[in-house]
Amino acid sequence: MRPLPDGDHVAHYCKPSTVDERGYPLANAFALRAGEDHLSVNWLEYFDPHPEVAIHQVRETLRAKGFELRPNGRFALLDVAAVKTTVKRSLGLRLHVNHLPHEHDPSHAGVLGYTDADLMVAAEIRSLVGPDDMRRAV
Amino acid sequence: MALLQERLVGLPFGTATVEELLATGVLEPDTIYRRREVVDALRKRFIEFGGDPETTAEQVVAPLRRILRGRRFERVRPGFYRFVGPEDREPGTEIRDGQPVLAETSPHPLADPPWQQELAAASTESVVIQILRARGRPAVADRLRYLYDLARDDPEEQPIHIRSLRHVASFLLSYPQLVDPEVGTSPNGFAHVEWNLPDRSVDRSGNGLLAMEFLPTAMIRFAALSSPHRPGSERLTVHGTMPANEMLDAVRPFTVGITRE
Repeated sequence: MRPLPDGDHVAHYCKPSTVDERGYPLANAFALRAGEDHLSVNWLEYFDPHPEVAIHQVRETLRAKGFELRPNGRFALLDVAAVKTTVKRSLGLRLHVNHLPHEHDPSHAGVLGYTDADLMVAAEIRSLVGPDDMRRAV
Repeated sequence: MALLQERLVGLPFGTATVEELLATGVLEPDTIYRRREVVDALRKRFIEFGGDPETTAEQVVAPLRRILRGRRFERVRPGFYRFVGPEDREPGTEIRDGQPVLAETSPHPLADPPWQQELAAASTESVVIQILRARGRPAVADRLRYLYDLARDDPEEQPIHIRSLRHVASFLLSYPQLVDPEVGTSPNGFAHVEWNLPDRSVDRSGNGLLAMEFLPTAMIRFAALSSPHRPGSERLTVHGTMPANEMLDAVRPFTVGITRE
C-alpha cells in the first residue's frame, strides 16, 4: 500500500455509461459502487514518464487480463497531488492514492478515503479533468 | 403503532416521515411552537420509533420546511408556528412499500400533470423512454435508450433501476425549464444527470458542474461546484441528499445558466 509520489499521474478508465456524447467523463465516472473502498486507477509512471507510452502499456495490461475496453470509453489522466489537495481543501477529506499491484496488473493503484459524500468527491475529481487529460480507450 | 414503527425504520427523513410523525400526536393541535421545538420533538419521536439514532436536527429541518409552508401550520411570526392539526396529509407525502411515493417530487401536488399517472404506471424502461420522447425530452430519451442498449451488450455495464428511471423522468418533466442534461448510469445502477455550468468566472476557469443521482426513493443525491478548486479563488460548492423541491432550493445559484427562457 505504498503511496504514489505527489508528482506522478494515474489513469482511470471511464466506462461508456460515464462518458458524455462529447467524450468527456461525467462525475459518476469517479464515484464508487456501494461496498467498494477505492477507485481503481493505473499508475502511469510505473511504465514510463511519457503519458502516451504509459497509456499504451495500460491498455495492453488491461486487455491481457481480459478486460474489454470499449470504443466509447475513455481514459482520464489525473495528477496525484491535485486530486488529494482539491478534495482536502474542499471537503477536509484526506484521500490517499496508493499502489495496489495485482498479479496481472502491476501498475494497479487506488484512490482511497471516500466517505458518504462520495458524489461530491467524484465531482471534485471530475472538475480537474480537462480536454488535454482525456485519451481514447481503444 | 407497530406498523408505523415498521414503516419508519430505515426511512430517510423526508416530508413523508414528518407527516407520519405528526399523525402520532407529537404536537398539540392549536398550539404555538418555536420551529426549533418542532424539530426537536420530531427528531426525538423518530428515534423513539426506531429511526436512525444519528439523525440530526439539520436532517429534520429541510423536510419540515415544506410542511411548515403547507396547511398544517400557520406562521404566527418569524420562527413561530401554530400547529393546526394532523388531519389531511399534504398531497404527495404518502408512504408506500416503506418509502415515500414518487409523487413527493411533484412541484404541483394539487394539479398533477397527465404524464404523472403514465409514469407511475410505466413498468418497463421502453414506456418511460417513450413518455420522455413524447413530452419534449427526445435527446434524453435517445441517451437512455443508448444506456440500456449498453447494459444489454456489455457485462461491465448495468441497466438503470426502473424506479430510478421513473424518478429522473418525473424530475425532468416537472422542470421543463431546465435544459437537457448529460445522462449516465451511476456505479449503483441509478440514473445520473449532469450539467456543465456556463463559465462566467473572471479567470475563465470553467468546469463548474451540477450532478444529481436519482435514488429509487424520492430522494436525490446531488453535488455542485461553481468552478474547480484554485488556490486563493472563491467558489461555491454544495452537496447532500434531499427531495427534488428542497434540492432545487439548495442548488438555485447553480441553475441560472442552465435554465431556458
